[in-house]
Amino acid sequence: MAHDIQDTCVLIVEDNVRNYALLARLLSFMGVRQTEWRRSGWQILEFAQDTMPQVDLILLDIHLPEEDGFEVLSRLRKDGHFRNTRVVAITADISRANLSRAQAAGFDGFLAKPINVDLFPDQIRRILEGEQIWDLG
Amino acid sequence: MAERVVDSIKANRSVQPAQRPVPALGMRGGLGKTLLIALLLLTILPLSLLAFLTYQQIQRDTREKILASLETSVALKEAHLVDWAQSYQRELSLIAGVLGEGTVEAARLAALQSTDPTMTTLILTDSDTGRILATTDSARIDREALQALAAVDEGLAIVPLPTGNDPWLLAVSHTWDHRQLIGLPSWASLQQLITASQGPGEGGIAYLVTGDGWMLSDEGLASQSTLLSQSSSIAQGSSPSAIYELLEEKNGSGAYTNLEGVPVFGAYRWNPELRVGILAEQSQHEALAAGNTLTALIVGVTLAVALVTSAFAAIVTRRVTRPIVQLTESAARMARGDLNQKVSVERTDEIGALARAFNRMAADLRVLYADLEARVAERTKQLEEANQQTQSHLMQLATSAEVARVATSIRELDALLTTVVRLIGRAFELHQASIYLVDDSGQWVVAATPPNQAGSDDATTLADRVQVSGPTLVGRVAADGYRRAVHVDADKGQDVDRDTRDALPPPVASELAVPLRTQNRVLGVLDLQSSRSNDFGEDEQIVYQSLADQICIAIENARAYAAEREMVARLQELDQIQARFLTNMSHALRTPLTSIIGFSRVLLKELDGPINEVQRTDLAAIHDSGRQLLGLINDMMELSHLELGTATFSPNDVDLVEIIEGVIATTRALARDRPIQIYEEVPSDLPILYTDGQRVRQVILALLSNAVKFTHEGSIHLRVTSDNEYVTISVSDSGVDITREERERIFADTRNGAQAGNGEVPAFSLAVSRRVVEKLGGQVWLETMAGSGSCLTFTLPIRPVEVE
Repeated sequence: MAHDIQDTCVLIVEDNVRNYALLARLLSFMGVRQTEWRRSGWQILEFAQDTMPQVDLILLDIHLPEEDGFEVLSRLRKDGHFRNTRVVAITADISRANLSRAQAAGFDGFLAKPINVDLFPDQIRRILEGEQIWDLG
Repeated sequence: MAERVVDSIKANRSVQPAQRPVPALGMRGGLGKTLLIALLLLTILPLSLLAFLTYQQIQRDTREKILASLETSVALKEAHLVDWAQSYQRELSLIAGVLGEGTVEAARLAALQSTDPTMTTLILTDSDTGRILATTDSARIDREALQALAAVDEGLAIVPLPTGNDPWLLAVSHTWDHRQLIGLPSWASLQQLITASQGPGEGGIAYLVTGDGWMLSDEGLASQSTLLSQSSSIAQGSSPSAIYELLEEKNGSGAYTNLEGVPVFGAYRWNPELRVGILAEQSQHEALAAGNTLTALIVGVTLAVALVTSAFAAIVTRRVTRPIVQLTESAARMARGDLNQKVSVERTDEIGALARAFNRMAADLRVLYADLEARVAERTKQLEEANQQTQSHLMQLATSAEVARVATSIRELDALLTTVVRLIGRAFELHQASIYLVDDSGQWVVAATPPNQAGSDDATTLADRVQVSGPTLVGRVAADGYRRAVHVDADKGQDVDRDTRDALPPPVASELAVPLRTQNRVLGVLDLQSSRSNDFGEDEQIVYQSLADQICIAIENARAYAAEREMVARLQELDQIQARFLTNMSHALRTPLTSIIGFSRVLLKELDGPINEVQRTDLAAIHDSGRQLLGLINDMMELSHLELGTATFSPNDVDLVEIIEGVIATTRALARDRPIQIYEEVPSDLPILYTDGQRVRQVILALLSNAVKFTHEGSIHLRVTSDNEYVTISVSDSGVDITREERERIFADTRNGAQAGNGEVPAFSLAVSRRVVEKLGGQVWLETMAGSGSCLTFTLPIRPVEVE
């Protein structure tokens, strides 16, 4: 992403409000002005065209109830709206199997919960610049 | 495969021994031939000899006769010749007397000559000078002839005449008184003389032979000189021709080949005065002709006799050999198996005796044979019975083996039982074989096998389920576990066991129910029905019992196998449930921790604004507790994964030196607030390990963190050594005076989750470390040094056989 960090739009898909609050706080401290929040991945897809601005990054909790984050990813990838969007998995399931699965599924990164507050800004910056981060925490 | 074994056994039973081929009957009488030949020889040989000798005798006689006759003839002829010559001489002397002294005129001579017509010429010569004084035929006589004539004094002379018609002159002369009178008789008269046949025993040809080899015969005068010279070579080896003998002035007779090559008999005489020889020959063929006829007659008679003899011999032979042939044929027929032979011969001689003996022998043989047959039949029956027993034992063994094999190879109970009853039914040719199993209630035995195809129309005889202790054969057996058999008795009708009211429906003639029992309980019943009434005797029952025992084992095995599989499935399910639970728990626990750790950190970093020292302390407490909790959760997860076997290990080539460097650095950071010295002894030639690098790093970090924790001041040593198979890493600390028990306790439990801080991989507790090392193929142990400190050591295989 060549453009300014301030102009990036980050979408957080997370069912726990406090977790979202934490992420949002960290992002705003980094300088990201625009963050969106959805409780489930389906919501993105349903209301994509209407309400969604151009998203640069999606932080997707792949362990949401009643939802398979991998399937959401594959839907996202097929949708043209999100062609240039980085999708990063955020999950408490920090097994190596899950990491490999995320890699194979085509995620652009993997961050473990609980979030490492110290590392997080740098990781997000690098992801936005096109790097892939795989962190098991 | 079982069916094939059974079928092959059954097939072997019905093989019959092959028939022996019967030797062919054929006998041509050598005896007849011998007799015939003997008789023929006996008659023909002497007869032939006789004929031959007779022939010879006849030949000799004939020959003698002929020779004698020829000799006589020759002698007679010679005499005649002499007479003839003498008569001529007398005549000449008479004429001479008439002529007297004085000259003689030719006419007078002629007149005298005419008195004898046979005298062709008369010549009067002077004996001294040889001058012709008078002649009747002057032309004939020339000087040379005269000279030759003059040489002849008296007697007959045959004189060569070089010219003229006749090469020879026949002359008779008479000399007297200085005068020679020569008369030339005609050849014809001489010829007539010679050739006239006379007397008995004639049949030959006579010749007059002169000293020069001229022959006078009825054909005339011929010179034999050429023939003489020719035949001298031909006559070699055979008797010399008479001519030669004659020319040598000999007398004789014999058989020889004459000058023309014809075998002849001949006689010859030489008259020295007349200087001529007489030869009479008769061809041998002619002479012997008569004899040959006789011979032919004799031969014919001989042949006739031979024929008659042959016929006679044949008849005699036949009389002798026919009964012998009959006997032989009868014997041959007996050899083929037809013992009803009787030779009918009524003769009283030796052959008759032989025939009678033969008949007696045939009768004896019949009796003996019948007896033998009976015994053989009996023995065969015995053998057959024994064979049958052996066969059925074989069958039983084979079936037992097959049942055992099936029992070990088929695990599903239904398929197993169905196969087994089918095997048994086929092997023992039973009408029906079925297995009942006691159900869970214990009150009913349920059929576990379908009815056999053979008995499909008798489905009514097979109940689906039978009540235990009920009034049926199967029920009673299921109740008390003792086998029972029922059979239809031909005399008494249905033999019904007192305990049961089961009638045996035809075609079933007997039934056996064998319990399938283990030591203490009955699992079920093996029910067998047969269409033969004597099938389930005591011996057979024992066999079936052993089969039933095998089936029991098979059933238990199958059930155990089923139970085992169920257990395995359930355990696997449990594991899955556990794993899911863990994951869910982990997730649920981490979610609030995210907030605790995260927000406390945010505050500590003064993202929300500046904080004072008190706030900092409080927030630090929240943050550290949160971290501690997270560490516990992580350890718990790891341990569970390691216990379940779901922990992942990804081995690759690992450089220990690099890992250790990193870990040491971290440790130093950890220990920076305290007066602790950290030493490392790492050889530079450490081999590359094939193992899970991240896990190793975690373990080493855990050990070092632990050392830091328990050393408030002092030193920590990290030593690494290696040999061919293992790398040994030890972490020792000078440590607080912790007793050994405490150490061990720490080592054993999972209380410690040392936090490396700053985004490093969280360290494991020591217990987890131990598990990990063991899974990596190494070993861990703890030593406490006396006084102070302890040393944790673990080994890692350089190239493990199996890294889990």
